[in-house]
Amino acid sequence: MNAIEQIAAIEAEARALLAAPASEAVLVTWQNGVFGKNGRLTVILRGLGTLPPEERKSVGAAANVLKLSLEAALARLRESQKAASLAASAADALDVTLPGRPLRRGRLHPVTQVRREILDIFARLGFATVEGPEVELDEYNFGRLRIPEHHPARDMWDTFWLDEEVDGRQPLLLRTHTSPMQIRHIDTHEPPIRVAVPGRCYRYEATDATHEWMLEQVELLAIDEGLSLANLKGTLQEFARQMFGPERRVLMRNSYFPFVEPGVELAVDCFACPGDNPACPVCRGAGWLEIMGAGMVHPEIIAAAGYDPARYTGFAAGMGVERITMLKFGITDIRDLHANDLRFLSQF
Amino acid sequence: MLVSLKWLRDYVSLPADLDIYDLAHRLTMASAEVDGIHRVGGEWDRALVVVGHVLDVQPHPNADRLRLATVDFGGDAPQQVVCGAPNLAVGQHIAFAREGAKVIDGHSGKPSVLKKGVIRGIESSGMVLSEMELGLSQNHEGIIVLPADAPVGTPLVDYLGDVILDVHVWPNRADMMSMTGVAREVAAIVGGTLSMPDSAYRESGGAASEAVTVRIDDPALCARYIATVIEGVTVGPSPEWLQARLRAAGMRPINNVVDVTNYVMLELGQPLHAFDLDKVAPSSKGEVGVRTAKPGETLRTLDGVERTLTADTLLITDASGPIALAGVMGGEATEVTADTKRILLESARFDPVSIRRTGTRLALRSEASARFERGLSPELALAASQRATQLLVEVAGGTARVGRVDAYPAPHVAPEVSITRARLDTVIGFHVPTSEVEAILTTLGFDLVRSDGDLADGGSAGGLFVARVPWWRTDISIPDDLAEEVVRLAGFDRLPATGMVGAIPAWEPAPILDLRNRLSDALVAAGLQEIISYSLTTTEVLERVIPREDLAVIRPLRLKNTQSADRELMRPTLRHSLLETVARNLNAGAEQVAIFEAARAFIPVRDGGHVLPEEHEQVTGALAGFEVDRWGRPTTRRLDFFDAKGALEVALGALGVTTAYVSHEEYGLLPGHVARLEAGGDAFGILGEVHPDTLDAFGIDAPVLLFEIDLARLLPHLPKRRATRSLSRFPAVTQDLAVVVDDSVTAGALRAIIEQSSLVVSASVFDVFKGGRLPAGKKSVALSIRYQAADRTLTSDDANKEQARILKRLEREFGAEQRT
Ligand SMILES: [Zn+2]
Repeated sequence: MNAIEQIAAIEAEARALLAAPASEAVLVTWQNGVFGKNGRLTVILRGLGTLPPEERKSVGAAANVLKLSLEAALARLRESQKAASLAASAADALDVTLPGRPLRRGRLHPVTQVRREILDIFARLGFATVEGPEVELDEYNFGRLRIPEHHPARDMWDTFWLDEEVDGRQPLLLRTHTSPMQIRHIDTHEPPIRVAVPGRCYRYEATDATHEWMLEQVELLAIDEGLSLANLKGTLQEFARQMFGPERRVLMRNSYFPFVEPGVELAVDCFACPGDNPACPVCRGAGWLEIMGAGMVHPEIIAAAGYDPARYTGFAAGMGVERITMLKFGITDIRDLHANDLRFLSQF
Repeated sequence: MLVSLKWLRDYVSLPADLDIYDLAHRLTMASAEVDGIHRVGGEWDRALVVVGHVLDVQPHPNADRLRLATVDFGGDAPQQVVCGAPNLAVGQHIAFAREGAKVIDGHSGKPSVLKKGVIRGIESSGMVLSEMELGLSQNHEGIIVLPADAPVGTPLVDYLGDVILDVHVWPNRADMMSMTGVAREVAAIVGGTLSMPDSAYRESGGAASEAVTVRIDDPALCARYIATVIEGVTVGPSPEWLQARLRAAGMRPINNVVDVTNYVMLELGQPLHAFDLDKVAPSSKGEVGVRTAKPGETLRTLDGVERTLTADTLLITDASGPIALAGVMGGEATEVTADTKRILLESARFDPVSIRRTGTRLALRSEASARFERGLSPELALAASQRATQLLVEVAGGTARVGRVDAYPAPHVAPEVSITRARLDTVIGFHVPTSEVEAILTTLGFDLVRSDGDLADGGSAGGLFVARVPWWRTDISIPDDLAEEVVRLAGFDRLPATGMVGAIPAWEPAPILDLRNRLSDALVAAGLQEIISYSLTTTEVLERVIPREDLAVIRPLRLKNTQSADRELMRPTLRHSLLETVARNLNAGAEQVAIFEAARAFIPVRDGGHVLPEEHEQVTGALAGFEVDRWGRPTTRRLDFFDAKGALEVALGALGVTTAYVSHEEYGLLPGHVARLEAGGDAFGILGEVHPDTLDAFGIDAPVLLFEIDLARLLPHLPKRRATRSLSRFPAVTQDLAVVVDDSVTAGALRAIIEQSSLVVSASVFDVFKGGRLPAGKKSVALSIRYQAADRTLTSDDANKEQARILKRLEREFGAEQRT
């Protein structure tokens, strides 16, 4: 076959191929066989120089025409095949509602979530977090908090005592509140003081839907020159707003703890109702939610730590983390928080 | 303390249309918390439950134990009803229910509607009511007899109805453990005129001091002891008004003498004790003593228990020995009985600590000890003695001897407490005007000795308030106590909410807390659920995870008092808690459990001057169950060691801790399936598969992986600053290498050698197998090695040469052979 005949044969092959579109692989192979480094058309074009001058012109022209037209046709074919493939894949749509491939999901315990939220809020107000021992001495849990042995206020904290002898006495107990850290902290730090103390506490108490023998508290202690009850109210109002919503107000009422004077109880107005719904699941119609006991640090405690109570005043507050967790999440039985049922915990 | 509103009105004038909820709210805000409000008679129908008058009583013709009563209830005609009460009598005023009234059934205790009925052949319409039928008490032995002045036909609720406030009195307020004390607070808070009970009585006969003398051995334990003598009493039931009041306060009427002592305790807050003076040993010649017990002394108390007394027990004695535990319980020998004629009435001030110690030791805490423990004023003893003597004469008859015996070694001097205006304003953060401060203190019973407020209020620059404390306020001793009085009555709602202005203190680092939070977050990111479990457990449970002999050495902290057998020891490990939680959730049908807890393990330290135990901060976790498929359904593949290790690698990797996993053995874990976690050569934790025997002990029948990290040991190995290296600009070459080595050669050891090459960026294992054509005891490990140079493009020749060197080294170190 001479060159012109070869060109004609390639053109015929191309027509057949384009008429009945072959697979991409067949097309690529054919294309390489024709246009590739040693492809048939490439060889023809490369061999033009060896042809007689009269043939060289006509063969060159025919080969170039064929090359251009074939390249254009192949491009068109590819376009149409791509369009067809897109149309087919659009027709074969995903059910986007099917679940994703599952990854195991972990969560923090709701009490941890709320404890961290509490501590974060107070951190923004300048309260550093410090921690203390869960096994305490009578001296710190009671004595230096002005609750000596046989003081009737001991009835406010039913206590687990440990069967451990120290110097002929048994002074070890499971701390009933985080307040002993007030003493431990002012023993080792100078005013100004602002700390929050989270931690587990224990009460020798019967268990029911709202009482647990193991509980978590966050204690606050601030000591500085000129601190007042109004500062306590302001600090806790800011806490209540960040924790329960910007509209919240705090209500202060009289209370008693031997280590503060005056002593108060703090409540926040109900975030679930305007305060007038007797069926409100959160406040049960009270309109207020009690969240902590507080007060001005007793001057004897400041003096015992070696500071002048005429110069330094302070406030302290203690709140139950489970209580706030229950309010926030609408949990009605505190025992659910320690049952560790994964079906319960996976809701948070 | 239960406060009857009706009774309260005796001491403080309150408006007839008082809003009880408002009163309760204001009391709660300023004084003592009102825990509950109970309406007595709220359920009595006004038309159907009324005051009746018994006109006639006839025997029932067909039944010996029943009678027919004709009752006038203010209606058109008297009604005849059948009545079984033995105390029914003509002329009585009684509580009467007409047909259709809702009453409590005397037998079933349930509410029922009264219907017309025929009882033993006689028609009966209506009922003469007992306390139980009115829901007042469980007493169904007889009918209620009302005072003769009860107006017939009046709705019973108007006559007997009441509102009871349950007031929670703080431990420092001894004065509020009484009706008069609550009345003082109410008057101060809502206004109203106070009128304290009149306690005048007629005296006759000889002087009390001729019949009784008192000797106090230790005035520190008994500041005052007053005795009066009432002779010729008749012991019997109290009048209805007295019984009704005791019931309203939640106390059971006993007899008129005991009831009077209880009544005065409720009214004034002073516990009293009545002795049968004729039973005090004649040889005493009327002398009673107050002293602590001597070794070996005993006393049979009026509950019939013979008690051996310890040296610190405060006693009342006569010549024969102890006759009462002072302030706690009387003795049986001198108890007032139906035959008692002469009474020695004790009104005393005992030391609160002594009372509490004795009451606690003997488990005899009572209404009386609750008052003594709060520390009563010795001044109260006189008021109570007078009032009780007056009432005894009134309700038990007899005459009071002239005067009283009053042993009062150091009479009370009312203290003066002062506060400066500056202090007052600083503590409460709000300026209460001087005139208001004065009004508040005065209305609370303080005598203002000096008040010069401050300049702003027209006072002096000195600005000082000095107040004499009323005798009943035993809780006021420092300036800030006055600040509390002022602020609680001025109203906490008037306090502004003020931010703190001082400098924020230097920040205190909390590395363990930060590490606990970061590790918890990282474990959560690795798919683990945090749990919070109890810190207390039992020996039996601990023995499942700690060898008995180790437990004997640790001797975990043991509770002295516990209310439940499953709370005995402070846990020295968290492992059992995690396994208990795994067991519970698998039993509840969980397909997969992946949990951790961040908490403390308690290790006692009993020597070297240590007092407190070590509290080890730990993070302990467990994984069990099945891997899930694409649809989240469990597959047949159980989670294994490498699932747990993967989670730890993610978590510890997030902290930047380079962890070595070193083969290890540990009690409770399956040998050959345990790794010690090390960083920088220090062990900081453990990971392993739980031993099947341990699983059995927890009732788990599936493999469980357990890990434990000690935060204090991990902390030093947290990178201070992450080391980073810049990436090479030159392309890398990746080549595979498969070697056959002894089974004992770990993949970690092979990798360590390979990664020593300066041209190797990383080497990762991608296949391990044994068996097949490999000889026994051998395994094949395939690694993918990535070569890269920082300064040039590596050719595959360069990589081949380096790989050959590596292979030689592996041959030398481990006898490795290349697998072809
Ligand atoms: Zn509400």
